[in-house]
Amino acid sequence: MELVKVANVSKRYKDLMALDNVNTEIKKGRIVGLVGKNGAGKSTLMKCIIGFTKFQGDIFIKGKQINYMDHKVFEDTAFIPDINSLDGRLSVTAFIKFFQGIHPKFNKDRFDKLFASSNLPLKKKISKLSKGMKTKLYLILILSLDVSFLILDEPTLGLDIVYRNEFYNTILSSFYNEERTVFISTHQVEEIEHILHDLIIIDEGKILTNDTIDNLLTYYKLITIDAKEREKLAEIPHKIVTEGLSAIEVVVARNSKLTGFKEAIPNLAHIFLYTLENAHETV
Amino acid sequence: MKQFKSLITRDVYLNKWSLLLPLIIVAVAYMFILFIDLRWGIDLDNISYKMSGANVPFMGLVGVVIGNIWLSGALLSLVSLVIMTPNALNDNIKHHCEIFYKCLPVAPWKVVLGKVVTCMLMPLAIVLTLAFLNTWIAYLFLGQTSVIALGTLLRFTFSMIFFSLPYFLLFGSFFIFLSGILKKKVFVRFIGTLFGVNIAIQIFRSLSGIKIGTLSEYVNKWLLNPSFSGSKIIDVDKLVKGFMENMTLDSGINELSNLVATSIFSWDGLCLVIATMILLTASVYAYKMRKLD
Repeated sequence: MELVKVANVSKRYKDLMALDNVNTEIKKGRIVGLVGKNGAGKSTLMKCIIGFTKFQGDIFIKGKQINYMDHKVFEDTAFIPDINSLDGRLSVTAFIKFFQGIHPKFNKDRFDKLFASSNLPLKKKISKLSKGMKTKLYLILILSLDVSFLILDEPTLGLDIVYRNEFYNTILSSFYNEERTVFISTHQVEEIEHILHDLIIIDEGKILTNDTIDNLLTYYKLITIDAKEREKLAEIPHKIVTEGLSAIEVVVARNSKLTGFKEAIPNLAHIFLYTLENAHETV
Repeated sequence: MKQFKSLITRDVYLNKWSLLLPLIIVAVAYMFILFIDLRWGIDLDNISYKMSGANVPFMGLVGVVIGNIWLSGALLSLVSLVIMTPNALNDNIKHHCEIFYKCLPVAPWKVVLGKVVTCMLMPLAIVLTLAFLNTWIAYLFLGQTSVIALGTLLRFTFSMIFFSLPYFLLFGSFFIFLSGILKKKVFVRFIGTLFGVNIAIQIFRSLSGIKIGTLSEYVNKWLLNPSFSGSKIIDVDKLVKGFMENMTLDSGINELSNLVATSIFSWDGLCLVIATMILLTASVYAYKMRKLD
């Protein structure tokens, strides 16, 4: 069942076509990744979904049409844009109290449980917290909401690997269930690969792929061929992902003519690169 | 209601020094007087002499009360208008947290109403508290020998709130609106624009010889006559005259209190309230539709 429906959505910033007649959907109860290069249209698509920017076309969440700057969308949707958007002037305690009072879906029991293990300093001002601590605080607050849709726009940008890993693991263990949907944008697909159900690939404002991870892994294969045999690749859609002196690793469609080589399952980064390279080919 | 309480609590937390500043200044003033009294031992009871038949402690009482009311009012107006309202709806932009607040399920009208309470009504409440406190203290020291009752003075003090109300409503709602449409430096830009337009008018006047009023002149006129109907919300001349004539009588002061307090409930007062409502409604719309960076 679809939670979000994006129909014929276009968005132009002066000379740049940020979204070009996008049609896609996000299914309920899934963790969906949105990947693309920098400037591919990821953030614009997310902003359109929550009504933060004007666009042409229609977007529906749970069947309700999204309007520009409508606060009601956040009654059942949480959005983490950037960790640094927290209000640095407030102390941790003041911020928690504010958030608790402001959000009708704040779950105090879940918050207490999550906060107990956080070691966050209550009296400190948010501006004095490290980036890792800010992340932790933001995440705990958002995960304490009984909302059914969570949108994360490159949430771990600038965080070190330890916090990045912890961030996504916490979402998986403390927030996600089959009634909830998580939509994450990143240009580092490898860091969310292990938690995703579906993947949407966007490039130059167009959706190139929207499929389940299980399906995507059956569409492609990673083959290792002798460097001398690379001319065999000339006629088929492919993407070289590693190039050594003697051998090269190439992603190709599983049904391609290239057979007889060592085969492996590609990861999502490989599939992403292949898709970008062969945007006009069909698998 | 819970959301509204949270918004106000946060706004008070963020503006606590702006709100407390008048209280601190008045407290410092009292401490200064106390220090002088303790250091040089001024005997207030002895500051009494006859002047045109008037009792000086009584005059002192009236003077201190009015002085204090206006001192408090002026300070709070300054704090409210210059510090709080021009930043009411755009301080989140300045502190790079606008997007966080926009991601909350809070209706824009609640945000604006919260600002009205914190930046306009709370300073008024503080004015009133300070004025009551000052009246009581002044009465304690200077009013013992006067014929005037404390209740009459407190009533008069309360009525004076209505004197500053037009300024609070107009300037407050106007600056809140400006903070909804301008992202930064609202007050500086406002003053700069006013100054620039005035200069331009002055130049035009001197070059063309045509006599037109400057913007400041129109603003001043508008403050005392917001509806442009020709009558003023509060007739200062009448008020002063009435005060001078009635100052020695309890009933006179009560009459004066009534005149001041009821003057806002007039056609001009209604126009003022409507203008305030329009500005605040426009603020809600401006805040809601404002483009995120």
